[in-house]
Amino acid sequence: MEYSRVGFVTFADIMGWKGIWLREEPKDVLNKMLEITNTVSDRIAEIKKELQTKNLDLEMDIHLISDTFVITSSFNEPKRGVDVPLDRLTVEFNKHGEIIQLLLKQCLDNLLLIRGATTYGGYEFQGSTFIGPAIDEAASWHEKANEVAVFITPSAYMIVENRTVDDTIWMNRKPVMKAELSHTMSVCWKDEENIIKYKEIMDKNKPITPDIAPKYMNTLGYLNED
Amino acid sequence: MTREDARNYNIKWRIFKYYITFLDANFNDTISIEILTNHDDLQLREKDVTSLKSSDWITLNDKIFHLEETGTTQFKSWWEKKIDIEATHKSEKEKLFAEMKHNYQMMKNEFAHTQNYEKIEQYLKDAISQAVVLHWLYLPEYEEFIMENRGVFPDDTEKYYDHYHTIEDFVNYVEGHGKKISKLGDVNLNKEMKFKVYSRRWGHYDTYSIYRTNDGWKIDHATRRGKAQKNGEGSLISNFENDSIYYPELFKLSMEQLWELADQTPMEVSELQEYLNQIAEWVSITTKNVPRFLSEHSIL
Repeated sequence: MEYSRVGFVTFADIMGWKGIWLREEPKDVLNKMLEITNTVSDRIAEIKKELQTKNLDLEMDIHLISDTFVITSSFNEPKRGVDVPLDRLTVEFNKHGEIIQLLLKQCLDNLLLIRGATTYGGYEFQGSTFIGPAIDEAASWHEKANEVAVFITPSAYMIVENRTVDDTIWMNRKPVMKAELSHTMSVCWKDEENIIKYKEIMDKNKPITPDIAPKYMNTLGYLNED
Repeated sequence: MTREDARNYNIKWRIFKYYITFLDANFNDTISIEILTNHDDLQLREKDVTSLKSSDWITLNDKIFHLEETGTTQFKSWWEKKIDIEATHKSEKEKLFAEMKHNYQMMKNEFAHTQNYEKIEQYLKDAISQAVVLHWLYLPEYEEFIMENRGVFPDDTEKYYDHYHTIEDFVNYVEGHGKKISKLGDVNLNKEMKFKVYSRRWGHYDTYSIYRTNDGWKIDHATRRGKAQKNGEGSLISNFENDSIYYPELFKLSMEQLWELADQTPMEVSELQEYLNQIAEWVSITTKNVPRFLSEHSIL
């Protein structure tokens, strides 16, 4: 099967979306979600421009479907014969990760937490309808992290495992999972500001009952790692 | 490098190839323009003889090219390079090509699957080492736009072949899928035809004069005239936009495919005119059938 787009796809949804309307004014939540999407979109536009100076034509978008952010990226074929960096894929992976980092940060700033999965493969989309193996893989993995994290699925791991990726964006860390996954990488998001924000969210969401405690504590575990 | 520079290079390269068919090449010979069978080059001659003359390589006198002293020097360096390579590598031509093709296929495979760039880099390096030799054994000719995109001429082999696409072009050339030089379409080139289309703005049909040119179409109409690309972008589409003419989504593809068909076959002007009539009527019907509410509400 041929797909017009082949690249990285991330699904990331809001943790605790169910019943969020009891805790916050629904219209405020919707406005926050749109604001986050717009901020990320602006950065995507900047990245595209930056890459054009290297003859790289990146297609990258962020879509919002209910509480799920979908980030897609792929490169358009360069003009025949024009010099482009040979390892375009690492460039795409790093830029894709940079956008997830920004999304995590924007969510934290708006007191929202996300978890998700990034995969690699073929896909198509029209409006908010997505189809393809990369979509199925991202959709089936994105709720499997049992903490705030965006990690890569097996298809993405296979393609990036031997590359030198930007270690300020991607780290060799396996989040606490609901499904077994021996090898993966996750997006780095720990910094002083984010730790403070995270603790603020935990505080706001009290009581931390047994059903939600593992996610919070696993995340805290990551933030406390050396 | 401009497209014109690349075209001039190709003309010189073609003359070179013509000369070396005579092993005792006499560099002071004259050469008939007839070897430049492509209408692109004939068009260039008509359009920009001055540029070609000032290329310091050849002079053009009516239908005869004369190699000049400076041109002869460049010509000789190509000749010496070819002789040199032939002396050492002629016997391994097929083997070298098979190796280059293998490297190309491995690169293609890597791009389609794991995209391991270290492996791609190695395959490309190997393919370049083969291409720099094979270039002087096969003497391939390439599309001008590729040279323009590479920014170097193919005789600068190390730099020119340092790209997946140029290796791919080389493989295609040897296997007969490379640059097509056709003069079949010359029968319908630069001939006046009509494009009769309904304008919503004026409420009647307008008739444009249309010519198939070497790189697209030329439009001649009362208010707007000029060049259009093969798919109609340029003067044709801008006429449509100006006169509220609404074309179907497949219009551009149709114009481009018609241009290619007319270029690669001996299509008579009358036949090409008939196809243009079909496209023009298709556009007219689309324009006439725009939903009425759009104009009633001043949307269109």
